[in-house]
Amino acid sequence: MRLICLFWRYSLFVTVPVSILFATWGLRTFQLYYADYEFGLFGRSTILYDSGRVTAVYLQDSIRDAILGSKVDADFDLFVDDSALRQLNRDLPYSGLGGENFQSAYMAYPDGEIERIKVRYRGDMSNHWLFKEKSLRIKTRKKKLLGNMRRFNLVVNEKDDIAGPHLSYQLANMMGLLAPASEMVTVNINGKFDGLRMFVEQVDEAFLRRRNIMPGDIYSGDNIGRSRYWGLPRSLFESSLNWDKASANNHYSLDSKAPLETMLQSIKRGEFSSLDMKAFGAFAAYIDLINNWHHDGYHNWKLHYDHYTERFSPIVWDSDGWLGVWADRPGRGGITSAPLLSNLYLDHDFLFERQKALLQFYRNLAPEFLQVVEEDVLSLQEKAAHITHYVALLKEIYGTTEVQQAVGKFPDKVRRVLDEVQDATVNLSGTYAFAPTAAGVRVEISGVPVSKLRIEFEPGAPLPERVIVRYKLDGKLIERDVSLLVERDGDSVVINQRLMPASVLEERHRFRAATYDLLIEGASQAAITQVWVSPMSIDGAEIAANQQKEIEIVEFIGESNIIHEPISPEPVVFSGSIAIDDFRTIYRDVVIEPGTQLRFGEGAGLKIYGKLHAVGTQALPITFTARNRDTPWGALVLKDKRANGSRIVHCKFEYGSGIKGSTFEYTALLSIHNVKDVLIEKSVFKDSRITDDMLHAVYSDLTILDSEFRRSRSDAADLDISTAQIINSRFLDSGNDGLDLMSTQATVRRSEFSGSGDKAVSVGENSELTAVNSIFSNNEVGVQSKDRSHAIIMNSMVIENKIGIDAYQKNLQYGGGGTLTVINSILEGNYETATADEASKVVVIDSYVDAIAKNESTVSYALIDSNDKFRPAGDALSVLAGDAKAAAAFSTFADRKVRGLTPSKEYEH
Amino acid sequence: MNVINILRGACLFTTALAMLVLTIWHLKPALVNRLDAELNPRFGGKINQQAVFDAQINQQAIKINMLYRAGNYAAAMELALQELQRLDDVRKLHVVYDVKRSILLKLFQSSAKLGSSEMELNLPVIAAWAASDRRDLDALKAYIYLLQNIPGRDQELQEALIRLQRQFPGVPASPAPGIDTA
Repeated sequence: MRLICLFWRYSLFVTVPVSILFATWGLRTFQLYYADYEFGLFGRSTILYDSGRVTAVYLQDSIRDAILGSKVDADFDLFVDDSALRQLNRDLPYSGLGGENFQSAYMAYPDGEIERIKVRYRGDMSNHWLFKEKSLRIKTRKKKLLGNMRRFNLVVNEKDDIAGPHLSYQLANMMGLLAPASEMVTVNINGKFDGLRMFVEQVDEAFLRRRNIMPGDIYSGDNIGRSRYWGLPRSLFESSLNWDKASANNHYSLDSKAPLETMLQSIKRGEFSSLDMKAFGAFAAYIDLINNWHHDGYHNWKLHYDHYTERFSPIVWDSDGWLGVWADRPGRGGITSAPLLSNLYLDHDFLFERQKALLQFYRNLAPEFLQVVEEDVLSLQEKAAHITHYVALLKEIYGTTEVQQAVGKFPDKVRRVLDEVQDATVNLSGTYAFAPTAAGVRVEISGVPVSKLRIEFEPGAPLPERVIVRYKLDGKLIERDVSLLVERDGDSVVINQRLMPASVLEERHRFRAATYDLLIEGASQAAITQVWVSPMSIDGAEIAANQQKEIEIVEFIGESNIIHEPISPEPVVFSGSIAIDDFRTIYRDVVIEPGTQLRFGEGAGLKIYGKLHAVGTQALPITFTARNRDTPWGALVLKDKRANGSRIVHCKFEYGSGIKGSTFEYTALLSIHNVKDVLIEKSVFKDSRITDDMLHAVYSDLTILDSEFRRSRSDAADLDISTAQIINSRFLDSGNDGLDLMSTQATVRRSEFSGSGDKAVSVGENSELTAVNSIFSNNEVGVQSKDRSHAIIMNSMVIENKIGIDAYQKNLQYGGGGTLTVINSILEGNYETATADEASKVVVIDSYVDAIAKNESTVSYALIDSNDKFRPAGDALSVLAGDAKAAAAFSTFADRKVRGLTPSKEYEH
Repeated sequence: MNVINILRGACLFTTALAMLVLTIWHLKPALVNRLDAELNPRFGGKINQQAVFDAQINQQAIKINMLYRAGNYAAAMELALQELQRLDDVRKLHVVYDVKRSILLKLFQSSAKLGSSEMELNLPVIAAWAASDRRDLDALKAYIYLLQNIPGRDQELQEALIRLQRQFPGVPASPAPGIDTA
């Protein structure tokens, strides 16, 4: 009785805390239960038990943290005010998600500074925001990027097996696919450990710029959750309207989805010319390797369209590699998780590229990737040591040990899948057979595709002069002359033509046997002794096909691009005076004879996919002109790698403009896209009209020699993501910039830039310029370096410009300003000699400067005589005046080939 | 003193309840799940079956649909309005949003059948629907249809047509969802 009394008297010491805990648990369990009741979690039926269990775990952790603390040296330290958290949480999911719901917060940067950021929740599925640890999207200040990123995500994981999503991105990046950077990181919020997350770069315009890709369209297909469209087809591949744009080429309307619309229409017809097959082949190989169907017909698609390559590429996003219900299924490849992939699996160009990507992976990348997996898993296990409890998809609660064990099993899981995919794709067993026919030989291909084959003839027998491949497609016999791909090799002929097996599309793609008839002209089929094939397998060894008496023909059904007829090496030749009134596309090489005059009608032009040889002479130049000066012609376009090595010599371009369509843009009268080793020599460009540039090169490499650009409407030459040498050329009276560089490395020697409406040379967006022995005069700005660009000007004259040299930060996405160094030069007669903003730096060394304004505090001068800033830099002046001895003294700085020559002297001749 | 005793009693009771609940939770998860299934109207009576829509809401939606199909547009409209009041706070992402949307569609279709005065009556509901989800082409087309058939709404109609063109280029305003052009 006494005990009972004592208990009664002191019971509150026990019952009050228990009651408070119970009430808290009950309330939070109800909140979690109700949230899941409203928003669902992957269709689970009963949730009360799990809600209570999870809440109990959270309470337990809170008490433990309150007593023991939870200090972890985390990768990310975020500080979010309680009011901001309340704002984010007040009406989830509507309060914390979506573009406008950012709240102010702070983040510790690697340099130790704590800076203001903005934060919100992200993710459609409730597992991203329902539990204690939430997926976050972070936006930094424009002037304080993280690395060079302004937006990134910290994403919670769905399973104990938390390595999959990150390692998927690692694999994609290793395979050269467009994929965001990712990392597994630990996160503290307000000084408390808040779990493991996957850091993922945001896919937007800056994502492209960081990869040296022209800012273009990124289409995002996620037709589920908040992003779901109603009243439109559910499948992403039925309509362009249910896609969003995550980035847009600003030369087009933000609403325009013309490229996507055109592509979706064309793939229904089995036409894939707007797809970068190499990228899509690698993407399909990647999907096979991660053994996952997460890129389905409704979500997880991001496609990049580049208006300059005129092709789409996939961007890897949310692949969930080696996870989900597919994780334990055998890796058999041929995953057709979306209609686009199903369509592509009937295209032989695609299948060939996929096979190449798989081969490349297994030959070169697999050991390295497995090493990355091992290392990342070890690092992840270390980070997982901080976990107390980790809740995944409500039901599953894991502790450190369970997560570490699950992660530890990951390398074996990946290895198993990779081995299975290897057996199912590049080690695929098959048979190769041949049988004589009346006109040649029929070969049967099954298993691994063949990259080439060799037909062996009896010794001394005549070899064929012509080889035609015949196959049956959709009931029709198709013939393709492949003679151009035939090489003689002793008593054999090698046919460098890929031959793919036929395709079967079921749940997955698989190969079936195909037959090709090789029709031989000029040789006897009776003399054929053996056919050898080179399968696209790991060892690449040539193997003998089995000889059979007869092989039954196998028909291809609905397949495309089975055999391409090779493009004739015979060039298209232009000579004399030619009128062109349309926009023509030429796939062969083009030769333009000296003295040819091409007169274009309004908007007319030529697009050449082959090599251009337009080499005139001083006496017989080649002219590209308008039929009528008042109606400018369009553009001469050189495009893609078969145009590599094009030569434009003694040509005159005038009164041209550019051409813009809904899916392409040629902004200059000479537009060079994705072409290497182009030479423009002794040519004149003048009087461009309507569009931006007179010469535009993107993804290209060119040399401009002894040429002149006069009176461009806007920029004389605009070079994007290219490399260029400009030697002994003149850029005069440009409407805007003389030379406009974006992410380009350019060398300018002995050239003159005069009378530019804006900059003589604009060095922008991570470009590098080295200018030697050149003159920049009478421009609005001589040379301007901006946005992490670097310019060096040596032995040059920067004279009588409004601003001589300038460096500043324009586009904050690049995270810095420009630098500009002037050595051994003259800056004279400029209204302002040099200017730089706080993010930039200008250094003038050993140069003559006639005036330094008071406000030039961000510019440093180290002139020859530091006691007298206005003393002419004698040696530099001597060099510019043509003193050979003085020039020799500056050989360290000057271009060795041209030292001693000065622009002024050169032009006197 | 009495207050302290009442507090002691209440806390003791709560503690006992806590023990009981936590014991059940720990030892009898199936019992908790059964309770869940009973409490939760969204699910059928059986435990561990795939979730189905909230039975009650779903039944009402079916009823509205049946009334509409039977040509009883006024009753369908009336019931739809009544249900929509109950579902006022249900928005996109909510598990029963699909049902709410189907009721909104039936509200629109019933109004369209009944004539311009009913259309005008329900215009604010449909306008709010079209504004709440800018990705819902059906909602926008329904809104446009109502504006086209209610006199004096030219300005709003113009704005809605511009929005349609901007958001869904090339998509015609008609037919509205579930409305025959004939």
